[in-house]
Amino acid sequence: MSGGGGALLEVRGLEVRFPVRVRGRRRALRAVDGLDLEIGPGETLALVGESGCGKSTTARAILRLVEPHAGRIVFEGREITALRGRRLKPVRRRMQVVFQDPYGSLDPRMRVGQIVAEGLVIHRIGTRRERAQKVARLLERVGLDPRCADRYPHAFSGGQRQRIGIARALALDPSFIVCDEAVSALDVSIQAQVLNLLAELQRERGMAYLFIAHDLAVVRHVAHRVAVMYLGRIVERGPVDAVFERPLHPYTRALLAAIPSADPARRTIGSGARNPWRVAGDPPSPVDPPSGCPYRTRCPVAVAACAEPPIPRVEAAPGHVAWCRRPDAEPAPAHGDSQGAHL
Amino acid sequence: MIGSRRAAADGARPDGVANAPLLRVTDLRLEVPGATGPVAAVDGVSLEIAAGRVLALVGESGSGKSLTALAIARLLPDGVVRRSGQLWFEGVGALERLPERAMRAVRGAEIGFVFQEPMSALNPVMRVGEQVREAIEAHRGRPRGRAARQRAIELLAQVGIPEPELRYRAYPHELSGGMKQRVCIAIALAAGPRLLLADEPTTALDVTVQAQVLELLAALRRRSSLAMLLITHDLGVVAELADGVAVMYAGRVVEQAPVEVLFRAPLHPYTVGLFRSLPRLDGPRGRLVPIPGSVPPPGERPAGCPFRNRCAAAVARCAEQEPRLESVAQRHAVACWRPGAVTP
Repeated sequence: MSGGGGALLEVRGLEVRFPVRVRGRRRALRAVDGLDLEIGPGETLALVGESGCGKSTTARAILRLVEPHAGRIVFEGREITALRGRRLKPVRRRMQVVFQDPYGSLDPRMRVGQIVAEGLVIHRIGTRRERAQKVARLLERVGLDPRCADRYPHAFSGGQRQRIGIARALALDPSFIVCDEAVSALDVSIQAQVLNLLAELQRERGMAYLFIAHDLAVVRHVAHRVAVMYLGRIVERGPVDAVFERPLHPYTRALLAAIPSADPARRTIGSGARNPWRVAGDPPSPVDPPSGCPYRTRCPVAVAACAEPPIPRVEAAPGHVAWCRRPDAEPAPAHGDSQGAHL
Repeated sequence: MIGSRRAAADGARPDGVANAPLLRVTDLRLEVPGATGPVAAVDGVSLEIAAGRVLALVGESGSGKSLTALAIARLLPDGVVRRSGQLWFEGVGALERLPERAMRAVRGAEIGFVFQEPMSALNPVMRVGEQVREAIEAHRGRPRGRAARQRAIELLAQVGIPEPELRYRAYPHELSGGMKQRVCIAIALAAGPRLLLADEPTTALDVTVQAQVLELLAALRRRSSLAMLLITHDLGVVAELADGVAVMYAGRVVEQAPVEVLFRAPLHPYTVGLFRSLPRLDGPRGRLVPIPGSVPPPGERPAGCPFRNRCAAAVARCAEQEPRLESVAQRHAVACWRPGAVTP
């Protein structure tokens, strides 16, 4: 897919670094460390991984909210990596974002109608009357009473605020929306409402989503493809069923092994039959990532060669790819309490 | 036996009589200020936890589950009033009647707490080991000085913190979220409590770290017969750790059962709705079935059954009369006029 073909968004070799001080010395935190991805029109790509793995920074770089250190971002056939100011503005119309925090992402001093219409005003679209009509249609579409336009955000529950955020994202008819943990803060019954709404809107409007989430069950429900990130890099990507049912990378296996079973008859915690892929401790610092495979310091099947770049690329099926030297290795069985309490 | 309204138990007593509970909450009612006077945020909640058992309190925001835990610890925020209810703790007696001074001794020594946000539970400018030591020294008859420091290091090791001597000197910001939560658990255990109130203890953690902390809680419970009131919205966490489950909705317990019964055969339409709206790794993928609407805030709850506005099975009676929590089978109680009418 080097040419990008029919891709709506194509990212190549993306690097984002942040300057940090470690014990008084200036260092670079490699938040995103050479990342490739592409998203087709109307497609949902989920980006998963733990906090600090760089998934939100990746999205912010794509939205041009942080400056990439290196790499190329091509959106709707046009390289946008270096666009600024007036030339970036038409691109911004086409890509929108829905944030995690329904309380922090809406200006409390603006009425809901102003919040939803703000993009239309900035881009000088329509008359005041036309904008008001569009806001009413959008509010109705996301399941809110159009009369909500006159009220302030504080009058709404978390789920309703997230609907307002979605209406705001839709106002400029984008082709691409970043959903950055957009349902993570919601209660499960409300989360299901919002996930269904996002799916309906995608079917109606053909928008693509970059869906950032830490909940793999949610990801399995909404995504077509999934990319697993670890320490600023994608370690595995592919169709969601393939990755979840036949994971290749030990880190993907660790994430799946950590999910509570949702069935008390098949407990994994405290049962003594701990899944050997389950991972201990925390990821290493992105200031000092390990050489070679970033996961090798925690990987149960790592060998000395894993410290040497390059890491082999394995393709299990078309589009299902992982970067791992030992995708077929099996770890030794683990014992129940190896990292629990030592009482 | 005490009280006729006692709910179906937490799974500790197969015959429904045997070992006495460690904690028994009876008919707890908590009020918050409303527009036209106080309104009930928690309304007639009764619970029991036996030694070494884990009771999960499940529900969405606004269900009253955190307030229930705070009421047990007598740490209700300003403005929230306990209107009625008994809090009986084995070996101590009625917690609600203790003077504040005596209650302070119960907190820590008998009841420990772990909260969702480890960062806000720790003092940011104090070394974590010192915080554990402080919790040890706070109670009469506990070791002090060097002995307390040694005990703090042991506790840090017990909760799975590597290199505890070194970590003793760390400040909270130098530790990861998972390590901070382990420190909070060490502090909660410092005075050897018999009951741990854990309010969303893994919600702020990544899934791999969550699994580690759940392992730790399971090991603690197994080896030191620590009882737990586990407050969570995550049914996966419940499935992994709980013995019994009480499902709360709008300030009431609407269903209570041993965990395997609740997951296999939920009876309250709200419980069923929770399961159906949950995306799963193993189930079918299609459309989720959400519960329509949202939890009404205190003061705006409908008369009759508080869930009826959102319930697919509601009938006229649901608006007229509030269903009480009643046993439908051994150790399975439900507050519904049409239990089982909505199937999973």
